[in-house]
Amino acid sequence: MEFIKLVQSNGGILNGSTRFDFTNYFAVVPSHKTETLLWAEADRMRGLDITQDNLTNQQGVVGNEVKVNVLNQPYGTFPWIDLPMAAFSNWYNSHNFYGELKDIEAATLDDARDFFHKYYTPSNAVLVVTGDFDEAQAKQWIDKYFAPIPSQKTEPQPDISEPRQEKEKTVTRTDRLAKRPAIGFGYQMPKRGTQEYYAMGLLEQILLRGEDSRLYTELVKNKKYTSTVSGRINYLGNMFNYNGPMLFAIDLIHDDKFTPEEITAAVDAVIADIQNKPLPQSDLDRAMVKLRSQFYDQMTQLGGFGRADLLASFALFDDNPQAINQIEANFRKITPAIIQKTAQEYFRKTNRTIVIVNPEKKDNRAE
Amino acid sequence: MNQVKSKKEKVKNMFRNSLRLCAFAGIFLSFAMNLVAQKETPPSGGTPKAFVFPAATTYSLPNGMKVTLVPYGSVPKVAIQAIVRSGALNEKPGQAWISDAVAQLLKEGTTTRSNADIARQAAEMGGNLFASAQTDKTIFGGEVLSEFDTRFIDLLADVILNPKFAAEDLETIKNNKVRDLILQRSSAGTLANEKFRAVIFPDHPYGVVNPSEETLKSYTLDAAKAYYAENYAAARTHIYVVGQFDAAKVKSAIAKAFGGMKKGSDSLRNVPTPTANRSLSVIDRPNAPQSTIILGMPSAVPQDVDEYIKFTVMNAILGGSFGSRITANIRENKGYTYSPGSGIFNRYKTGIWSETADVTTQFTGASIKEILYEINRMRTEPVTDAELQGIKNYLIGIYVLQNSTRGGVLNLIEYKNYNDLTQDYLDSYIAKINAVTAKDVQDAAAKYLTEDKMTIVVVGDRSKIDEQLKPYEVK
Repeated sequence: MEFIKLVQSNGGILNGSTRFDFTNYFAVVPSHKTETLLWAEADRMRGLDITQDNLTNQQGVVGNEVKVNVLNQPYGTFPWIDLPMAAFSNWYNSHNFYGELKDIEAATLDDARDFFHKYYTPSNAVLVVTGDFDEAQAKQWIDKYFAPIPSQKTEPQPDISEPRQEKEKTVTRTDRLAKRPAIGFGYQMPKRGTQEYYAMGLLEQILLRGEDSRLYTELVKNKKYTSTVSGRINYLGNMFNYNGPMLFAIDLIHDDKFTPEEITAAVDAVIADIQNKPLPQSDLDRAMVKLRSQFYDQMTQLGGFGRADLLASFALFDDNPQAINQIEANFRKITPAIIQKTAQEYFRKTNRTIVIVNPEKKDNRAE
Repeated sequence: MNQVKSKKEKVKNMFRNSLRLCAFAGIFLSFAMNLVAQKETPPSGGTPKAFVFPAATTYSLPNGMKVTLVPYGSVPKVAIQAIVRSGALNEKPGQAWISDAVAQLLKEGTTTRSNADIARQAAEMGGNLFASAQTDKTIFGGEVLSEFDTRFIDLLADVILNPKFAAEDLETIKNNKVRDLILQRSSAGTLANEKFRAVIFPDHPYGVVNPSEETLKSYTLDAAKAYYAENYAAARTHIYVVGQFDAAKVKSAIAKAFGGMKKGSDSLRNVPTPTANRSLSVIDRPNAPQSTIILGMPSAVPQDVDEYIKFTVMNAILGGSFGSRITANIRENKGYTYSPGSGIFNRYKTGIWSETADVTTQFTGASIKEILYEINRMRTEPVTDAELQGIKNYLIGIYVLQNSTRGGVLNLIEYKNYNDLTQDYLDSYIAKINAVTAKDVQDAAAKYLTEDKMTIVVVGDRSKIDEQLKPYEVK
């Protein structure tokens, strides 16, 4: 609470989050408070001091988070937890990463301290400062506050690799609070940074983004299964800020007079079109315009956080923050032929996991 | 590889999908800071830089339509919105939601463009065209790459002025709404909000959040066309252009595209008389692990600028920021809840303060008790200087941040216009925040937040909460 008050009372906003491959803490503050915030972040990195009271309190808070977002919410874990849990076979990727209530409740102070010492080390972190500030002055402050933090050994990363998927998987569950069925599809992504990876980014635009997208046109306008098709590469961020196995996901809630089989067939038809017919250059051009526009928005998201987040991801994963300047160029290298070939490999049925959510069958279910 | 099935993990907090701006609660950190133990004082930083509200030019077309142009920002994009004063407020009795249906119908196609054409053309400009019907206004607009500024204006005009009005589109829109309603009403938050608004605004369109299925199914194409003819008028329309754009070309394009819109009737005002009596409403949600609580009453209104700003500061301290009193109590201190928060529902000469929290079922009564305790503390004790200065800095910081996006700038100017406020409001906001005193804050709470005027709504498992809520029933 001290940290929160420090940032807010200085006219800033802040937040923190845990994603698949990193935990971040960020703040946006008036530029004349740059030193204040650098000091505070260094203080956070230097040491963890929690009491059992703190832990118990936060367990209550996180328990409530799980309740409001998952347990008391229709669909809850669908699709963002259900899909990776079903698709992946390596425990690190396939466990319930939000937290089972009983695990949250059972966490001890030693668990927390142990985790902090293993992973919250300077050499396992990056610091990004962007916006309106004096660079030379900021470097001095960073040196003053961060350099004295002693280096520590970081626990090595576990092996989080996934084998190539060879069989389609389907998982079905019942949801007590849902009134309509839902279906989600997850296709394993190609390796980050490859040509196929950039092609999938363009395919995200072509298939999912905007009302001109192919899945929207077919599932919403033509077939009227639903009024919204959702999905993305990385439910916990975007296609740039992750560093491990990932799914290209599609999800929708639909009327219960339609079966999962017919919806799957409709999705298959859209994908087959991309796989079997050459993509018109105008479609690719449009995808590129949409992507460029979205990229500009990402850069200015949340007072500049979006850009800082990307710089941090490239620094942390690749030791190459400059990669942010190559993004547009990498997409421009993708031709219709590459898109088609990528779709043939990565949208194959044997690379896919389907999750189906059914409402409970009740006689007095409200309609 | 070490695969421990029931591995115990450090308590962690998670984000879904996108980040939420933590202006009002909703943020979380997983462990406390080391500040107190070291007893160090953070460096105080420098002096604030001056802030100037972006310059805007406003003019009118001969048909009464207003236009505001705001050159802004360093990113080559432009936000363009046509805001029509048409909404729930204009609906006749029995017509709930028709304004929304009409807005969606306009997006379905024009006399020369299909829905697919509209979507594709907007995408080719790097954006999409949205239609959003609200209580008092309907917004048509989008954000596109700057090089397409005039092209988007043409598209926008076509959508607003030349609707296709196809019967099958209306059917689809109605079916979609039925489906969406079923979905929304499975969420406790929606049920609580519907009830709260119905109690606070009886006999007024603001009190009807969602139409009944029967009502919405009854709408015909003729009814939609009649609503459109009566409510879409140049005299009620204001176009905003914010970002990087060619001003001369944009002015010319707007004049050409919208010049022929009929003047029509002026915008409507309909100020409600909100409920200011004690009440408790409970909606059963069997087996719910949490109760959703909304607790509130009438507040200061935007037109009383100084009074409203004092109330805004009070609200931020009480429940409208993460470090706020209620949040510090029921979240940080007691762990009853994850994301509580208070805010002000505001319209023209209308203000309703409310606190919302999703709390663990067994602590439903206790949560209400703590919220009332904090409200009472605000009314009876002055806030400390440190607390007051801190919240002022926070509100000023948020204001500056709102002014760092095209959308934020557009919304602030539109807020000023809708509420009949002056440019001075935008320019002097920061100074007015700075001028608020501890007494102002206490007075604001004492005047408005009295229990005799309080509406309470709870959605939860009645078998577990009825007993807890007994002290809060109205005798």
